[in-house]
Amino acid sequence: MKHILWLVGLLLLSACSQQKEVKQSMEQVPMYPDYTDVTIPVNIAPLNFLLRDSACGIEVYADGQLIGEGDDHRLTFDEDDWKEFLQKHVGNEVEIRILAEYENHKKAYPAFRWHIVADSLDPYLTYRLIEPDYEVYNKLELQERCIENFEQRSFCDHERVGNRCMNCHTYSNQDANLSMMYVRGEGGGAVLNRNGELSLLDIKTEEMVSGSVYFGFHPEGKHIVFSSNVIIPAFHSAESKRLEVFDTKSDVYVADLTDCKVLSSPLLADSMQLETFPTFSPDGTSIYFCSANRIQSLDELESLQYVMCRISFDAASGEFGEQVDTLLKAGSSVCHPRISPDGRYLLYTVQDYGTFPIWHREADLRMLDLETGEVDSLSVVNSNRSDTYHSWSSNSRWFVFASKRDDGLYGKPYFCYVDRAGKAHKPFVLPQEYPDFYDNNLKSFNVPELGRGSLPFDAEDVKKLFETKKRFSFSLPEGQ
Amino acid sequence: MKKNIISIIPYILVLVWAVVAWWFFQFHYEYSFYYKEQNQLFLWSQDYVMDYLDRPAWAAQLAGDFITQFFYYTYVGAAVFVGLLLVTGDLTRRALQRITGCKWLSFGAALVLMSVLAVFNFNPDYRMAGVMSVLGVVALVYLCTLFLSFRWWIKGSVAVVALVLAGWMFGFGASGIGKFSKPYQEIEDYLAVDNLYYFGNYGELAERVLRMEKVSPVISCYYYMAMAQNGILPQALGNVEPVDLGTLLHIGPESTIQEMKLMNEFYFLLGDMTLAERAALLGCVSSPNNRNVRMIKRLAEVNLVAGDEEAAMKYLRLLDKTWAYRKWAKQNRPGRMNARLEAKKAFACKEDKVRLNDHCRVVLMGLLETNPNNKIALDYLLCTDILVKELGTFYQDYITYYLPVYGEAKEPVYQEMLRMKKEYDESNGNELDKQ
Repeated sequence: MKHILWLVGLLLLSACSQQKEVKQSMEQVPMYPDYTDVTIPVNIAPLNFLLRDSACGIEVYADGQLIGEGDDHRLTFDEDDWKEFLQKHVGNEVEIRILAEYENHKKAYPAFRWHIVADSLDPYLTYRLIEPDYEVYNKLELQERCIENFEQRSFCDHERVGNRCMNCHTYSNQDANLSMMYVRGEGGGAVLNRNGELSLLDIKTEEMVSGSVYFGFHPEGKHIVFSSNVIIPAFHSAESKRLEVFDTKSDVYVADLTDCKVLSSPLLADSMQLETFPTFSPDGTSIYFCSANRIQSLDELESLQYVMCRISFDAASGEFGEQVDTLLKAGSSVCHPRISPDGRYLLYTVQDYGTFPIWHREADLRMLDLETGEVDSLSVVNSNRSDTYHSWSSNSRWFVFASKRDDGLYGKPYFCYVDRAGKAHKPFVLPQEYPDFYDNNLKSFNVPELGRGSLPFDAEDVKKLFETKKRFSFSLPEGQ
Repeated sequence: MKKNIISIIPYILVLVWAVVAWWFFQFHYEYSFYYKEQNQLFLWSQDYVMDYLDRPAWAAQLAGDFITQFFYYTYVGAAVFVGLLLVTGDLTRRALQRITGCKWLSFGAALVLMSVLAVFNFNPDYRMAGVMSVLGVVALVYLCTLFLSFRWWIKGSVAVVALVLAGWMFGFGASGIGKFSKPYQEIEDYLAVDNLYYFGNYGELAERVLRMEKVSPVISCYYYMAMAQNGILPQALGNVEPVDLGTLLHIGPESTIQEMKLMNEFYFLLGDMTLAERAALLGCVSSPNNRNVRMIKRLAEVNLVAGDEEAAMKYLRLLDKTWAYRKWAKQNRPGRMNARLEAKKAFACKEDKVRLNDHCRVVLMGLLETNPNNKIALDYLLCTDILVKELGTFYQDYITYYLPVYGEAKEPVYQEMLRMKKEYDESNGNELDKQ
């Protein structure tokens, strides 16, 4: 029936529009962004796209019904029609056909499918917008985007915080009422958001090699686990590799945000080891982190390979376990462990060596099933460019990650569905209002994080926080 | 007859003013217009144009940037700028004449306004949005004067609408307002040298630099780069003082945009595409609105040479949407690029080495180890040794990199250094060799 409708539509169109001949193409549709054969949530904004050719018109058919048309090589869906379309087909696979018009003919491209699932994505996404060069910044900002439409806003920009650099906004349990971000440089600090009330924290003690860098919240919200790193930037001479960043020192600590205390364990602050990328397990009883032997010179850089480790932690007493378990030796370097909120999967990045996967072309995601111990190579998810900086949606059915596919320079947020059988589906990029947005954009979407609600503060609130100059200093517990 | 002559005097004054202004900006300040042009990336794209709506004084900014893209072409900058000032002056004159009825006052005020805007333009960073902001408000005032004879409520309504539009679209004429300054001859000299190098006019560049009374280190670098392009860096060493080869300069967050752009050209000349790309990205970030069309073109070139086709296409697609660079972008695609870029490919660095900084000696040695025939890199290495008076290092570099490829030194400055080395060895018992 669908095919008959499609054929009838084609015949009618060719009759109506100057009788251009319709040619059936065997080539895959030159669609950008690539939204072919993807799984999408019922609450996603329209997947506007363009064709990378000289098309002067586009029609999109879903199961034979016209759902969108454009009068050049770009197509922008009507938002109301799009929502109606998603609601109508939720839970189903829809056959999508694209008919493109050219100067002398029309071309019908091979069909592909959209699988529309009822499992929603958390509706808000935060990220940092920055040029792919971390030394000099200008017009740097942290943004929040609603993935259900095209609304976005800045919630921290460098001009309002004294031209300081900023990075890493992270939620606790995808909760917009508890989150934290860093404003770097002299006079900066960690900006903690509790129900919209902001406070400036100086999470640093004399024993630490630097301020806190990578961190994650404890599920109860009282603690964070974080790493303190001495980070060295370097340059590759081979032209395709560009930037390298690695640590010469790093340790892991826990901070009690209520008492302003930093808790430590010698097992996490071994001077011969580099410990980094810590995160709590969803039940809060363990800390997962990555560890490597410290290197002595730059010549050993390629041997800098991290393994994934775990240590137990008791939030009530603030005590750490007495042994570290090595969970994973990947034969390469393991980075950024992130556990799904249901505790089932551990998503991480592997790269040949080092700690900065966003600049490693070979960096790929892996997913460890914590029940079976099986590792999924996520071949349908990864690309031939860097895929990393991942975080989960609150329902554990989706994750977002930054991928440098397309050009190798500019990271974009991709969403991947993990079904109930644990199978990952082909990811799709965050849709934009204008189809050529990504072509024109010159900033990377850095460290995308999903949130269940909109953040209860804005850039002006952050500015006011820095104007008060009030900050909370941290120290070690008495006796340490 | 006399009355007729008197009545055309204001017009003659304006004409003389315009010719003088055009002559000055065209023949003594032309490179500031190329500078304005490169400091943006105007795209013929709906997404890009719609983005202006979120900016203050959006119409002034949009119109200013739209016009600026055409400054790429010779003679356009000064002519368009003076033309805009004339339109602004004429609308001012008409509006004031309708309000005051005094012709001389109106002409006088218009000339003052035009002169103020012209003086603002002595600052190369003054943007056309500033002129368009004033022009837009003046145009609205003139439109309001057309309603002077209407009833009060019509006049009032028109004035309110004009006021709202003046604020929303043109920032009440104060958007991008300039500063009074005298012409910056040093900056114009730098911009001239930067542009002559960019357009490959190395002979004209050398003539201009040699005529300068005072040469800045950045201009000195451009001079020697032009000499290196002509293959005569060692022969030209010392022609311009101070001798600055760029080999001792490092760029980072504290660097000026002049230094970033200079080092981008320098690394591109040497053949180090990684560092050329880094400098181009830094140059982009340090430009207004983080966009610089020349740096975008350079990023396309760097990635074409490096063979990173996807990255090159990212920038070529942007250039496809520009007016002045689209032809170049269409002609240079992965797999088919111009001879200059093809030649660069031969020096591409294939072996990977991680470098902690952009120390040029390490960079140059890395380039020579990959491509011993990279004569430009070799000349820079040896000339830097001469510059820092490291006779022993010069000799080692000569033995390691020059002799195996080119044999005995032919360049007089190298021969002189070898002679000095020989004399030194004879008088010190080959101490340097032992070291």
